[in-house]
Formats: sequence, structure tokens, C-alpha cells
Amino acid sequence: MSNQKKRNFQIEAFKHRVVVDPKYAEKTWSILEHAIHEIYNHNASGLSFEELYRNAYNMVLHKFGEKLYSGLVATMTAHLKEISKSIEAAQGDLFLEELNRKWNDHNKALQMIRDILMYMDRTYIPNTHKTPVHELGLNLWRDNVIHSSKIQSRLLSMLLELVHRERTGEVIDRGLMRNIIKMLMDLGSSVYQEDFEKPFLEVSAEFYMGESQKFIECCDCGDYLKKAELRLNEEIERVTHYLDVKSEVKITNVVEKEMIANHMMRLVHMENSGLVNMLLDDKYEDLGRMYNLFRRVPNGLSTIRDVMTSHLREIGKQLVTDAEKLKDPVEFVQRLLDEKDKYDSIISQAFSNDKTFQNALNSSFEYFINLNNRSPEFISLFVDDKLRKGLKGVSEEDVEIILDKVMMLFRYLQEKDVFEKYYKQHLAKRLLSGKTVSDDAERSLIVKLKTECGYQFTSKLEGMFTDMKTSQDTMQGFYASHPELTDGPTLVVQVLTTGSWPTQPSITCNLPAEMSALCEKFRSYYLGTHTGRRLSWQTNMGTADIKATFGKGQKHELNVSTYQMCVLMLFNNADRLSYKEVEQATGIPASDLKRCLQSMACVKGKNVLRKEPMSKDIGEDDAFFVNDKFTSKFYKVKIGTVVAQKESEPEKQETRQRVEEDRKPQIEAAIVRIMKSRRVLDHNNIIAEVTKQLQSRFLANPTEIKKRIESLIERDFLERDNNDRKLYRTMNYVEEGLVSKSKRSSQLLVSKTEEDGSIKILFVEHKRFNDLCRSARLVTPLMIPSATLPSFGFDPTFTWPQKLLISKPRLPRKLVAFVTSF
Amino acid sequence: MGAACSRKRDQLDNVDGFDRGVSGRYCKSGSSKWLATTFSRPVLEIQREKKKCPSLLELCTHKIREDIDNYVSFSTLPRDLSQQIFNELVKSQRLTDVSLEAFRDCALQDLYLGDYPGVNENWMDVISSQGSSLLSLDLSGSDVSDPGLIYLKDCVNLQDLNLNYCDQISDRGLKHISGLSNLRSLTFRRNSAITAQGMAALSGLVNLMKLDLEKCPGIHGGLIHIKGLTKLESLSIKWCNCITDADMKPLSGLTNLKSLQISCSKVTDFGITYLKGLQNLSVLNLEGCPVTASCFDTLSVLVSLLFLNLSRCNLSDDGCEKLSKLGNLKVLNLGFNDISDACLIHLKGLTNLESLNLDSCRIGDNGLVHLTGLQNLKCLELSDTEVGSNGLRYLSGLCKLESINLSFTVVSDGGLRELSGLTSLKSLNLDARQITDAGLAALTSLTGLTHLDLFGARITDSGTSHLRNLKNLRSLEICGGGLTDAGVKNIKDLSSLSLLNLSQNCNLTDKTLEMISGLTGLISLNVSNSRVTSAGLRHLKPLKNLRSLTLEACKVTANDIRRLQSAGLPNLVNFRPE
Amino acid sequence: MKRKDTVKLISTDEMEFVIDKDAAMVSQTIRNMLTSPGPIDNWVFLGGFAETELGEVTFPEISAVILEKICQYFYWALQYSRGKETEFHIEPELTLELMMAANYLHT
Repeated sequence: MSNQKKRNFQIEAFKHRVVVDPKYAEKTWSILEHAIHEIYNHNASGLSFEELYRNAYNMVLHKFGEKLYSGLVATMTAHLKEISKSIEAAQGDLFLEELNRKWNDHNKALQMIRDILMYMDRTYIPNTHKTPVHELGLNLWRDNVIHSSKIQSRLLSMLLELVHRERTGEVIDRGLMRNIIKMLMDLGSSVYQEDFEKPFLEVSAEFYMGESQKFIECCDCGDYLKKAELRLNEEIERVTHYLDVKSEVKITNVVEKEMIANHMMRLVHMENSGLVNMLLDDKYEDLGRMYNLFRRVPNGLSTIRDVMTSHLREIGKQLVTDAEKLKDPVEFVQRLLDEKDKYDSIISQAFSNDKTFQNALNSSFEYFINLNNRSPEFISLFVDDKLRKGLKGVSEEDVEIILDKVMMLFRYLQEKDVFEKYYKQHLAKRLLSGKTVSDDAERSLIVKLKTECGYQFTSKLEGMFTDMKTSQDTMQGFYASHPELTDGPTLVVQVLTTGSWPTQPSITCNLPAEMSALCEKFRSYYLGTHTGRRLSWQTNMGTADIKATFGKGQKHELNVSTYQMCVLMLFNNADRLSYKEVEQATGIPASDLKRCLQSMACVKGKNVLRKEPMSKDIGEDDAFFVNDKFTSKFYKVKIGTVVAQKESEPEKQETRQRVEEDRKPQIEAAIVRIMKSRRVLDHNNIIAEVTKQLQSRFLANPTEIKKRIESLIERDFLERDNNDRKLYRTMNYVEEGLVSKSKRSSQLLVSKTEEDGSIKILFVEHKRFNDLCRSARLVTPLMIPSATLPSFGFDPTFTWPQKLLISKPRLPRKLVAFVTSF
Repeated sequence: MGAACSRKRDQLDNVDGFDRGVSGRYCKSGSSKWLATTFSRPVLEIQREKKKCPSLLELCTHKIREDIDNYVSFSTLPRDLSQQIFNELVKSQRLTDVSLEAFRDCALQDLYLGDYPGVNENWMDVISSQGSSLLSLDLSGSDVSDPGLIYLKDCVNLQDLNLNYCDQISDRGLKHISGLSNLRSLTFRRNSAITAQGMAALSGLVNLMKLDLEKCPGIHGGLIHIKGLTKLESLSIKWCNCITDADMKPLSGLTNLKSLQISCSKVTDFGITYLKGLQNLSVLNLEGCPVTASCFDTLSVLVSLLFLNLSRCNLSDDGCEKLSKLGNLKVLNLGFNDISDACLIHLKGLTNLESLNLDSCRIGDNGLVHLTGLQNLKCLELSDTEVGSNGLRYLSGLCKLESINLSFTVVSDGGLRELSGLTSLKSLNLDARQITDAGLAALTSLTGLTHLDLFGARITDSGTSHLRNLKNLRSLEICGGGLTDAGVKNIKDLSSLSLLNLSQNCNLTDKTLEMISGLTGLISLNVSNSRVTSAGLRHLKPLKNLRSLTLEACKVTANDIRRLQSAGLPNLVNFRPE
Repeated sequence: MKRKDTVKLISTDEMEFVIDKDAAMVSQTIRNMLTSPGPIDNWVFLGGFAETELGEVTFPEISAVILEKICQYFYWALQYSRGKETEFHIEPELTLELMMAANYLHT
């Protein structure tokens, strides 16, 4: 019931006061206008917020919003014009203080005015898209005060003057400065920029242009950079104290341009103190400062880098081409390493490990190391030296460090295959003479080479190690099966796999009878256990230990080469032997013999032989005697060991030739690989791609590549395009081709071109052959009547049936040549 | 008080047909993709917004709404207040022709009555009493007829007028609004009574910026009357199949046009030539028009053109080389055309493209190579094409891609590796049978994914372990049949999920519902065709944001769901079985 | 300057309501009345309005009934924001007048 009753009431609209007074708007506005005056006059405490708010509220409700708004604009403008005058009247330094005081007043007044006009801000202004009160107050301040003709320029010049005074060392009122600048920022970023920032930057540019000119005339490079750094930091600090944070980039740009960018070249090349001097003297601090300053300007770092690079190349070039310094390969490499260390630490300590600098360093090293084509040999010699003696007593970690450094140099080498050649020779000598210090170090280096260049690169080197191990076992077996050999000379044989070792064709010399009997025993033992092998003696590579008794009965153990041993043994049966007699008896090649005699007769302290006439060189007419007067404070005397040495000129030529010979198949393989995927390619692109593919091993010579291409064309791997002679294409048969019928009629012989360009011959079933043909995308599998096929091991004059030659895929015209050469 | 601020009037641009996000193939049964697009944005608001204290003004408004029949007039209230009350009544559907009377002479500015029930002739008197204050009026879907529009004569300041779906209005009614020269926007969708003759009334609306005549089949010949409306920026006459080439001629001088929608009309290449001078045109929708490649000659001179829809235009490879002239385009829709890989080569130079739709075109792996240079591409639609795994490698460098649709392609597991570097990807559709668990392993790096569709893919429990790190997923569909409760374990912690579709996995039980009860952000859930029972429904109670629930072919009745709804899921508006 | 924690609100029919400042400041308008011109870091003293000084506000257009309701709302709103979400009852006959006042007080 009661619910029902409640529902029945009716709600009359709230009786809102209807305005009848025609002067209502005038009257209300004058109250508000008065209040605004009072607020500006610091008399607000007598005003009732409620009354003012209510009046403004009602004006808006009664659609007098426009009158209220325009009244506000007019009143505030009038006040600001007054304020402007009082600021203009302020004398000297008081000007800024007065401006700041009035700005604070205005801000506070504006806040109060906005609060009482809040309802207008909330409704009337958004509806009419007018400027809100607070923003309006700021705009009016800007237009009537800051932009008044008598204030604008005075304000700017005072601000700039203060900055200048601070730059010249005076102390200024930073608080006031901050307030004024903040006012400009509050008025909008465009006011701050136009009325202060732009002119500030211009004046700053002028200032630093002058100052930098002064400094550059009287300071050295290091001092100049110190001053520039100081100025830069000052400006950054200034921004944090009283400027807009966004100005930091702009003002630092000005300093950077005026003090650094404009003088970059002069600074870098400054006489006696420029970049090169800093580098030479390891001035990390100055270099670091230069790096940090230059990085801030365009092309700054590239300037440093370029100068460093050209200096480094110059130094490096001297290092690798100076004939004096080439005398000692170990010293040569050590100098390279020292130079690298020097620049590594400059880059890490001064150039914050900048990748681009590291790259520049690497490319410089690569540049000059390869200027000298003996670098690969020398690096290998350096390793040889280290692994022979240099590493004795060095900890495992230090060994690794040295090896890593060597690897770094190795990486710079363009002709890695040349290094491999030498490394193989030097390793062989180390292994055979048992002179390697650390097996672990040897293997560690091989692992490094393997990771760098792949399995192929090191497989032969590893083979050498295997041979050494196997030989040990073989020798044990040999002596176990010959227990009678405990007396007399001992033979140690290393069985080397052909191909793994850098064997040179050599003539076996005539061994002393007792030795050759022993060798014979070994030969029959070895071949007895390994049938089908061939042993040939490399007497040029062996060593021997001999016990010798000299004139006064002094006994020594002589460590000599096999050749030397053969020579010395002759003197068991003769007192005097002429050169010719020795040569004839031993059969040692002349050049080797001369060297071996020289080391026994002409070297002081090792002269177990005496020669007539006395001279430093061996002549064909010389005669030799045992030197009875030989003395040495050591019991063991090492004579003319087979030390790896820098190669002589002809030897060098020979090595080079062997390297070139080895490169040919590699270049061909690369060409075939590339052409298989590309099918058609022009000359320049082949060159480029081959070079790229091989660059991890060596720098292929374009002329050589061209020769290889010609050779491949000759052999029908490639053909020239009929129209464009610069264009090459692969012959279609490359995938698979039919070669011959096998002995068993159900099988066919198929040749398959392998990755490296070699050809593999496969026996396949008929069915499989069809598959192969299909997989090679042949149009129709070729079936050749057996009558037309030559028998296996066929006649090279055989010519293919005409029909086959024109079918697809094209069969090679000179297929016969392939097969026979295989 | 805030009522005055929420004007709809200022919204002018509405680029329909150019959805840049997840593309809309909504019709697939069982999949609830429509939710992904319609609900995806409000999710965050629903979840995060803390309840704010209602203002006294709001409390009063609500109170008035409750007793509205007791109020005689609001005319003495300030306009802002009466407007607020009016909006509240419309929102709560409490406004009737009786209560409307209280708003007579209230000087209201906005009357949004679109699709409001019961609006008719009788409402017009009070509407017109707002007089010159009225700025925008929406009468869409009302029964207002021609005479009713006479009332609008007094509303001289009217800027926006919306008369969509008003089938009682004809040429005669249009005459009555011919004097409303302040109109900026006029929409008249689906009106079969309006003819060319009636459109003469529009010629005086010189301030018109937007005109929408979608689905008006009788307006052929009428566009001549809008020839002088040079302020026009947006014109839609899509689905007006009466529109022919001749109708394009009057548009040639409307140089302020920015958006023109003429899809599904009879306009041909010749008609398009009239558009040459529209140098401000940025949006052009030609979907389903009988145009050929020759129209590219005209389109290439439209320097501002950014969005172009050419789907279903029967384009073939012939002449497609001219596509290369449209280098400015950002969005291009070529879906459902008879174009092949040979056509794609001409897209090479369109490096500004951000969205490309090739749905159901005859393209395959080889064509995609031409897309490698489109480095700005964000959205790529390849659904129903011959694209396979080999083609995907050409996409691996398009690092700005945010959305790829590979549904119904022949892409298989092996190809997905190519996508693993596309870390900007947000949406990925892999609805294809040959995708399996193995393929998902390649997706673990795509932690930015928000939408992943594996609808038909053959995903099993072990495959879902690859989804565990995709913490940003908001929608996920796995409906290949291979999922059991054990696999749902890997899904239960994807707390960003708002849409989850696990239907067609017939081994899922109530246990699944229990596990996903922590996914409180879920707005839509589908576990149809499973062994879920009504007993499991209680686990869904924590899902307070759930708006759609589908449990077809389960042991669950409509009543069970209704009980759940009233017990604690007030937001549930859509459920099956119904 | 005395700082008080309460403020006196006076209706047109001179009824006085002394309420906590916190409550009164639920109204944006009253907040401004009591705080304008706000804390400006400023060494020049420039007085605030009379209301700030006296700690009281007179509303010549709001009746005691309405003002009482408004004060109730202030306290209700404080509780609401602390998590106590109860109903706020409004007598139907007061709605329009209350709405006007709420608009005036921006609350």
C-alpha cells in the first residue's frame, strides 16, 4: 500500500531562478571584474570565493558565457599592460628580479581567477572551442609582457649577457636565471625557442668560434682537447642548472661543431702532438679523450681511424720490407706480435674496444703482412722456434696464449696454403729429429688450425703424428722379434706414409755395411708383416749418435745426421780422404755433402774433421782428416743438426712452385662447384666467386683462374656461349653420363662428377641407371645397344655413335680422354 | 556533466572493408572468430578498471531514471543536465513517447535514437522543439515517415542526421530536409524508395562532408545532384547495384573526396576514368566491380591513394604489370581473383605496402619470392592458396609482419621454422590439417603472439607444451581432435587468453573446465563436442568476464547454462545450446 | 593562519553544517574554495579567499535539506572509496534540486 502511495507523487521541475533584470549581466560582471582587480592588488582575502564562483556559474547558465569570457580577456589585458610598465621601469639588474616577481604574482592571480571561473572552463569553453583560462592567462602574459617592445630585446640581451659572464668565469644568480628561463618554457616551447634558445645558440657559436681559434693557435693537441672537454662539460652542466633539458643536444652540437668538427684535421695532424705522436707514445688518456670528443661529430671517428690505419700501414710496411729486419724470422714475427699487442691495448684502453677500430687494425695487419710473401714461412718458423725450445718451462696457459697469437697472424695470411706447406716441412723436421718440446702444444695448434680451416687442412699433419706413433710400435715389434740385436749399432726407423710427409725424391746414400745389414733386417721384418708395401729409405732425413775417440784418447758422443754419420764412418778405415773419395763412397748429393762437410770441418767447436786447405767453404779438391785435436767441454756434441732454417732463394722458388701446382685442382674444383649451381656465368663473376670461395685458403690469381677455365673448356666441362664469348656455361652431362658397359652385361658403367671435379666411376644395374637418368632430368633415359659399346678398358680411338652425340643430355665429345686419364 | 563531451558527431572516417587486423572469415562453423574482433578491445577495460565512486550527479540521474514517469518537464534544468538524463534514459531503454514529453524545449544538442524501439512520427514534435540547439540526430531503424521530417525544418543548426534503415522515408521526405544547409553528415543506408529525382533535395546541402547511401538500389542517375557538394570527403554507394559508369561522371569534380566506396556496383574501367582528378582520394573500395587491369592506369594517377580493395574483381594476370604503378599503396586487397605467381612480380615495387590480401588466389611458393622486398608489410593473407613450406623462406625477412594467415594452404611443419624469426608476429593462422606438434616447436620464439589459430591442425597433448611460453596469447583455437585433459595443462597458465576454442576434442572432460577456471580474462569459451557435463559447469564460476559460452553436443542443457548465468556470470550474453 | 580540520557549510536558511575538511573536499568546487590559489612556491604573500581564511562557506542558493543531503553524500563517497560500497538513498522529490547543487559543487 505505502509503496503504491509513494509512486503517485509528481515531481515539478526545480524552480530555477529566471532572470528578469535586464542589467543582470552587467551587474554580475562588474562584481567579477572588481574581484579580478582585487586579486591582482593582493586583496583577495576580502573576497568570497563562493559568491564569485556563483556569479560566474550563473552567467554561464544564463548564456552570458561570451560576455564573461571577453570581459576576462579585456580586464586581464589591462592589468598586464600595467605590469609591463612597472617592469620596464626597473633599472639595471633589478629588471630581471622585477620580472620574476611580477610573473609569480600573475601566476598566482591566474590560478585564483581560473578557480572562480571553473564552471566556465568546464562547460562554456569546451563547447565553444575557446582557449581555457590558464592557457589564456599565459598567452596574454606572453603578448603583453614578454613581447612588449621595451621588454623583449632587453630581456634577451640580459640573459645572454649573464651566460657570457658565467662563461668568462663570473658567478651569476643561477636561481633567478632558472626562474626566468622556466617562465619562458611555461609559456610554451615556441616562446622558449624563439625568445631565448635560438639567439643563445647563435651567440654561443660565435663565442666558441673565437675561443677555439685562440686555443688552436697556442695549445698542443692534448691541451686543446682538454679545454674542449672542459667546455663541453660546462655547457652540459649549465643545461642541468637552468635550461630546458632539450637544449642539451643543441648546445653540445654547437660546441662540438665549433671546437671539434671545424678543427678536426688540424688537431689530428698537429705537429709533434697529433694523433700519430699519441699513438707512438701510447698516450692512452689523450687518445681516449680524442675518441670521446670526436665520436660526437660526424666523420670524427672515421678521421681518427683513417689516420691510425695509414700510420699503422706505414709502420707495418717498414716492418715487413726492411731487409735488415728480415734476417731473423723469429724476431720478425715477434715484432709483428708486439705491434699487435700495442694497438690492441690502445683500442681497449682508449677507443672503448670499438669494433670498427678493431676491424681497421685487422685489415691493416692483413694488408702489410701479405706485402711480404715470406710471411707464411716466417710465421711457421716462429712456431718452429717456439715448439723447439721457446716453450720450455712455460705454463700451459701461456703456451695457449702464444699459440693464439700465432693463429691470429695466421688469420691475416692470404696464402694459407703456403703456410701449410712450410708448416708441414717444419713439423716433419721437428718430429723426425725428436726436437719437439711439447706434444700437447703441437696437437693444440693442429686443433686450432683445424677449427680455422677445416679437416682437409690438417688431415696430413695428423697423419704425421699417427706415423710417429705407429713407428714406435713397429720398432718395439722389430726388436722383440730380433733378440740377437742387443749388441752393435741400434737402428730406429720411422715409417712415413707417402703423401703425408713432405718427402723429396732423394737418392739413398750408401750406408756403412753394419748399418745396411741392419736396414735389410728391418725391411724383411716390416714387409713380412705388411705385405704389398714398398719401403724406400730417406737417408737425407735421419740422425745418428756415434761414439768417437780422438787423438789423445778423449771420448765424445757425436750427434750427427745420417749423411754425416756415413762420412765419419769412412774415417774408421782411412786417415785422409779427398772430397771426391768421400762423394764416391757415400753417394751423397753434392750440395748436401758440401753442407755436411762444412758443418764438421769449418765450424768452430764442432770441427771433428780437419781440412786442407783451411777455408770456410768446401772445395772439390779439398782433403779431410780426423781432427785429433778436437776438444769440447761437453761429452755430447751436437753437430750440424738438421735445424729448420729460412729457405734459400732456389728452395723458396721450389716451394712456391709446389704451392702453385697444388692450387690448380682447388681452383678447378671451385669453378666446377660454382658452375654446377649457376649453370651460366660471365667471366668476371666466375673470377669473383672463385676468389671468394678460396679466400680462406689463399688469394687466387685471376690469370691462374682464367687458365683453369680454359683447361676446363678444353676438357669439355665448360663451353663458351656462341654469342657472348665472356659467358660460360656448363656442359649438360656433368651430372651423370654413360661411359661403358661392364664385363657383366647386366651392369653399366656410369661416370659421376664429384664436388671437387674428379670423376667417379660407378657400376650400376640397368634399373638403377634409369633412375639416375631420371634424377638428372634426362628427357629420355639413354639405352645404348650393347653392340655399339666398347668393352671395358676400351680403345681410346673409339668414337661414339653419332646418334648419341646429339641426344640430350649431350655427351662429352672427349669422354674417352676422361676415362683413360682416370 | 561529461555528457557534452561525448559527441559522436566528429567521427567521420569509417573505413569498412579494410580491416587491418585479423582478417574476417567469420563464417566458419564452430569457430567464434567474430568475438576476437568485436570483443578484443574492451577486454582490458573490463579486467583492469577499478570501480570508481559514482558522482552525486550520476546518482541523481539514476534516481530520476527509476521514477521517470513522475517528472513533468526538465526544461528549466541547465541543458547539460537534461542532456545527461536523456542519454541515461536512452542507454537504459527507459525512454518512451510519454517520458519524452518532459524533454520538450530542453535545448538538447544530441539525440541518438538509432535502433531505439518505438520511435515514430509522434516523437517528432518534441524532437523539433529542441529547435536551433539540436546538432545531431540519429533516427536509424525508426518508423518515422515522410511527413515526420517536416518537423526538422526548425532545427536549422542540425549537423549530423542519420536515417539508416528508415523504410518509411522516400523522395518526399528528402524534400523536407533540403533546407538544412548546416548538415555535415547524412546517412541513408538501405533505402529502396529514394530515386534520382528525390536526390535533387541534396543539392542544397553545401556543407555536407559525408554522405552514405549504401544499399539504395534506386539512386541511378541521382548523383548528378551532389555534383556541387564540393566539401564532400566521404561517399559510400556500395552495394548499390544500379550504379553504372555514367554515375561516376558527376563525382569527377568532388576533389575533396578522401574515401569512396563503390563496391558491388556496375562500374567498369571506363567509369573509373572519371575519378582521375580526385587528388585527395586515399580510400577506394572496388570490391566486386567488373573492372580489369586497365583501371590501374587511372588509379596510378591518384597520388593520395593508400587503401585499395580489388577483391572479387575477376582480375587475371593479363595487364597486371600495371599494378607496379601503385607504389604509394599501404593496403591492397587482391583476394578471390584469378591471379597467379606471375602477377606477384609486379608487386615488387610496392614497398609501402603494410597489408596485402591474396586470399584464394592461384599463387604458390614461387610467387612469394617477389614479396621479399616488401619490408613494411605487417599483414599478409595467404589463406586458400597453393603456398607451401618452400615459400615461407621468402617471408622470413619480413620482420615487421604482425599477422599471417596460412589457413588451408599446403604449408607443413618443416616450413614453420622460417617463421621463427618473425618476432613481431601477433596473429598467426595455421588452420591446416598437415600442421602437427612438430611444427609448433618452431613457434616458441614468437612470444609476442596474441592470436593463434590451430583450428584444424593435428595438435596433441605433447604439442601444447610449445605454447607454454606464449604468455601474450589472447585467442587460441585448437580443434583438431587430438587434445585431452593432459594437454590443457599447458594452456591453463596462459592468463592473457580472452578467447579459447577447444571444441571437437572429444576426449576433453570436466577436468578441462576445472583447469581453465583460472583464466579469468576469458570472454569467449567453446568446448563443444566433448565429454563435458553439467556437473563441470561450476568450475566456470570464476570466469566473471565470460560473454559467450558454447557447449554444443555435450551433456549440458540450456537450462544448466542459464542457472550458471544467474548464479554468477552476469556478463554472459551469448550461449549455446540456447 | 590557523589550519583547521573541519569546515563550516552554511545553507541559505542559515543552517550550519560543520564537517571534516576531507569530506567537504569531495566537492571539486569546495576544494578550490579552500585551497585556491594552491601551493605556489612563492615568497610574496598574496592572500587567499575569505573562505580559506575563515574556514566557512555560505551557499545562498542551497537549502538546508539539500545541503544536509550533500554532506551525507560526502561521507558516503569517502566510505565508498575505502571499499564500503553501499546504496546511497535519494528521496525522489529532492532529485532535481540535488542535481543542480551537485552540478554547482562539481561532485
